[in-house]
Amino acid sequence: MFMADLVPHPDEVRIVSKRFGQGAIDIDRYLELDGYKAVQTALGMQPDAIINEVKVSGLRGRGGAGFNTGMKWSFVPKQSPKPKYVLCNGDESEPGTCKDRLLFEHDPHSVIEGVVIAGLSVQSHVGYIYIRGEYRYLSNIMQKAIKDAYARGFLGQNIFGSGYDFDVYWHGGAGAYEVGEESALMESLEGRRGIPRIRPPFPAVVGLWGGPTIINNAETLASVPHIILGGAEWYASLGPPKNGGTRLFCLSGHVARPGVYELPMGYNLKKMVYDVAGGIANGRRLKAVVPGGSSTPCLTAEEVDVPMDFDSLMKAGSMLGSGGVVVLDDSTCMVKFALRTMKFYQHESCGWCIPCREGTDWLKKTLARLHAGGGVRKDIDNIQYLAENMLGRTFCPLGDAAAMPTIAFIKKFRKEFEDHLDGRPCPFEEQGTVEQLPVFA
Amino acid sequence: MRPDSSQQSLLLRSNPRKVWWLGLEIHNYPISQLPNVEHEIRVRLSDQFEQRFAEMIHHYPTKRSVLVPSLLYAQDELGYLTDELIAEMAERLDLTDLEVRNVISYYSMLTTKPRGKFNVQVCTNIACMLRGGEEILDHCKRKLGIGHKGTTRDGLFSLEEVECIGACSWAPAAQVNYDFYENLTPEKMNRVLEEYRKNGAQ
Repeated sequence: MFMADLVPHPDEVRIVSKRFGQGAIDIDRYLELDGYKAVQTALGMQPDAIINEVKVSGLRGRGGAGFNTGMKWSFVPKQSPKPKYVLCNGDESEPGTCKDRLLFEHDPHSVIEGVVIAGLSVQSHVGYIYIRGEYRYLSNIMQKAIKDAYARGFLGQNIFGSGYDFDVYWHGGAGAYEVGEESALMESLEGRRGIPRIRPPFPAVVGLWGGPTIINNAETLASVPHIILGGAEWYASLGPPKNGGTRLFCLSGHVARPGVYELPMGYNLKKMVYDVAGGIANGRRLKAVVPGGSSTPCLTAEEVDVPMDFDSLMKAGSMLGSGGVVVLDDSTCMVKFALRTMKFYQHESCGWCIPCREGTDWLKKTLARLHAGGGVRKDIDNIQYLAENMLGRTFCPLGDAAAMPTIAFIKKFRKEFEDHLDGRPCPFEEQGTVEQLPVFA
Repeated sequence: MRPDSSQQSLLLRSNPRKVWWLGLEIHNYPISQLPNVEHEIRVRLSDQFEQRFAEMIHHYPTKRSVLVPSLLYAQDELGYLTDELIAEMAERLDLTDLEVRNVISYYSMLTTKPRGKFNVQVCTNIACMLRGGEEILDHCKRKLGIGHKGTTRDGLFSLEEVECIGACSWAPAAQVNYDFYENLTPEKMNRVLEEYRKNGAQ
């Protein structure tokens, strides 16, 4: 088994990653490191008080959408004829993101604890932890962690002698990006194809097997115990207003020191690239940054001086997404990058909504032709037009996720797309490596 | 078709209801009276699988939830999802074969075709592409002499170009079956493949 190495940096504020590299997989070691204290505190709290605490902390969904977690929990109806569920989304598949993997690898009990606290806040009695199929070794770790917690009486009937019952189960996927979306995740857990459901009704009202369901990213749930123990005000004060706490940023691409770093929300992106990640590798220059996984619109080198929080990035025309920061240097061909991004979405589109199924396929074909020097001037506008028509026309955000970065590539790097026209081969590739296509004018 | 003797007795036991305006007799068999068909064994799976399956099926309010994870575990044992296995799963979970196949076709890790003992999955998604994932894939293609989704003649290796496997900060990365190999170079990839070749020959 490969244990991902962790490189510390002085600016890091380690909260979720506090126990990384300290052997917290072992339940005894976890208990030494303040483990399962938050659940016991939460058991003595009123459900509304837990929700309020999380709301005040300013914790926002770490999976990508950035919705206030406490707010999401408060939408679950108090009385429900059907059982309520908690579902932890560990189907991490967004290109550029590799944070949940570390969480499961080093601190699986904190995720379990987060699931139980979320369950207490809405008076649910069952929680599921969904782990993607590729992470087989992590699902083994999680299964052992759950078994250990049952053996100690932390899960099951009468947890911690409180009279409250709570069961946690693991569930495994089998390779699908689409399943990371909440309604497709529920479909997959129910044993079907991961096809999204229309909203409303939202999962908080009608979710798993028709019961009200809380769905949160693994990192979000792992942050909850720290909020309960440290207090909502302390957590909120770590980041800018309405963007509480810290988050795990996964720095990758052309940087000298790629890795996963836990930094406070609102940390400057430029500083992140040049200081935390050690700048651009091989003495090259920065060209663009994809700030939150492949679904988010890129930022050019001039735009990178922004605080990394949900609201600031929204203002800068992008999104914080899942925290996967992909850095591109000036040797990167943006057309090729756009093509590879689109190839991914075309592969992962479930085919349920026509704008996404057809849109991603045509965008991939057009981009491939353009990259191979077979494009015509009109293609560039066509790509933008097609992408703009996918926005908001699908059940789930996969269509938007494919369209948004593409529109940004065209808007910000139009010159580069034009350099591929008139039968010219890709200027970034060596002569003859890209197969030349005939031009149909 | 003539009812055989066992069915005949059922006919006698059930209380036919006559629908006068159709001129038909409708038989309502109570489920308890239906002939008990012995469950035939189609495919042998390990005790570990059976234990896991029996445990997991109680985790959910519906049976079919167990389908995806158990298909993956079964595939690990059999190499691929055989027709027998699909029929077996469908029977166990009260589904049709088609419903099981429908689910299988959605998930990219599930396969109904045999593949090599070691499935080499090279990521070429954006983070890996920037750090040479495509070179690693090309290197594997040359080294193994097969293309995307191909299998070597000796049945030892198959190769696949996969989407993000969640190793972006340690790119380029590849997975052989479930084991991650990260920060790869062509030389390192060579060593990995050699290691597997040695293990496979034993």
